[in-house]
Amino acid sequence: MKVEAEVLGVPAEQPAVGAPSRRRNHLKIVLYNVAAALGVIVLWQIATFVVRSVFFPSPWQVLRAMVDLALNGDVLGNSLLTHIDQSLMRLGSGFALGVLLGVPLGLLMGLNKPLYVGTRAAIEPFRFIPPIAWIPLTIVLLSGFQRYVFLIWLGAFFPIFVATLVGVPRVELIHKNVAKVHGASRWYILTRVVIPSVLPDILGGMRVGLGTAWMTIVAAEMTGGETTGLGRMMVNYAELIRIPEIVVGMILIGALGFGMNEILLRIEKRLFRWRWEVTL
Amino acid sequence: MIEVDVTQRFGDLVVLDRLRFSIKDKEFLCLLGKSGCGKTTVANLMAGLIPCTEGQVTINGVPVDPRRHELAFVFQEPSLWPWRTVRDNIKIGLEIKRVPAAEIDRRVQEMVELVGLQGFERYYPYQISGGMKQRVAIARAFAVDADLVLMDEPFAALDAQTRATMQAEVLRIWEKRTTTVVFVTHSLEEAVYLAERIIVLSEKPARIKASFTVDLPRPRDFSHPGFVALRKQLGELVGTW
Repeated sequence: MKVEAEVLGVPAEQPAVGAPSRRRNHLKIVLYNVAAALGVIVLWQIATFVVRSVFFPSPWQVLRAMVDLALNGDVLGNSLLTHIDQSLMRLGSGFALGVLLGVPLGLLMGLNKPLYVGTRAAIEPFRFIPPIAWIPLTIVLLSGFQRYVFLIWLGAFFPIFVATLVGVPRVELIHKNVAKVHGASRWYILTRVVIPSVLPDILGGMRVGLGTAWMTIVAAEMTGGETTGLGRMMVNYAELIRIPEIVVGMILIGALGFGMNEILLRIEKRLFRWRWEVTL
Repeated sequence: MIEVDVTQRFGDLVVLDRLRFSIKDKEFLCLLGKSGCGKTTVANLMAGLIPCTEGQVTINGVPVDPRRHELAFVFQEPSLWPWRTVRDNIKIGLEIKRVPAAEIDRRVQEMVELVGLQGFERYYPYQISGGMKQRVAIARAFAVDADLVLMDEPFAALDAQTRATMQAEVLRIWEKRTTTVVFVTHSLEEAVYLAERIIVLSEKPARIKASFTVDLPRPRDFSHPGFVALRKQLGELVGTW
């Protein structure tokens, strides 16, 4: 016996009939986004005509500054690529540490309610101390790379930890019972039921954590002793009152953050093909 | 042989009061009772999902233990893992019992054919209908060589048409696999259509009100005089619900 009329969706492996139209749709979305970005630049250009201030740079001036920074480096001789490289390195390390500690700790405390309930007062207050408030202390106690990593970790850890922690109790009991009836071990239930169920929450927490990480790194670099990093570069030029270079830093931070978020979104889309709801 | 002798209390609430019955091997037993009478509790106890307050459930003299016995459960609510495809859902029980991969493939294929889901092996649950999902849940339960398959109102959420098809299918699979089945329901017709034996439970605390052996010929016909008579007798016993 075969049931055919009951299908509601598209089979997972079959290339959808509407594939070319979907690709065309995708192209359309890309074009809209490019047009919107160009629109912002046009508005900016118009604003420069209206404001007419030497401190308000035009898109053209900023582009020239960017090319100049990329080719000739900054006032201290560091190239733009070095700044980007350093910032990404610090951000990547701090963020990775945030994931590596936030996810297991969130799972552990989510699964052992007494543990979380009993230690709440020792953990939760830290959430409300913004990473930036740690800067004075870290200037005294830490230096260089470790200082950046610590501050970024602080920023990324809590969103990831909390998202995981909150996701665990929402795992459906019936999904666990399916495994229990067959005599599954705790490990099996953790790896085959709890983690797949909580993964969407974890990815959501990572995207929030990434935003906080970027906020933190710029503040950390502005106050750090090192000569490199996008935040540092912006401060250097602020002291010289050279606005176009500052805006270059701003644009790069926005673009890099956007790119990393897009990567996480792609991962989500691949990982959660089974979800009916599409995350935005 | 499965023997049940349990008392269950949740706080002050006595759900089951010394409920005792036994099930023969390969038997198809229906537990019939009003909703809220404690039927699901009986099923959960038999599956080892909750511990008994007093007494125990034994399979061939051994207290029920999901690790030692091969148990299976078809739930009333949707129970497929949404992140797994149809075939990966069917193999859960086999995977937990560490059946070799080749054997898993063979058995999953067999079950897919038995419930008529050929071609849907790689679909995700959200892509198939409610009836098909419940077919997958049934395939998952019968894929293991279960000492006991528990079915807790598995068709309650389905429309009448699908429900009738599924009842016939369960019987077909049960006859083929010859497994012991305990089927919980509140539907008189369903019980008379499916069961070899029907145990009628009273309201809370649940006790056995009556027990019937059903020896009507199969496939059973809803208009058969024997069917109608038994259904009527059950109706008088339980009142209307």
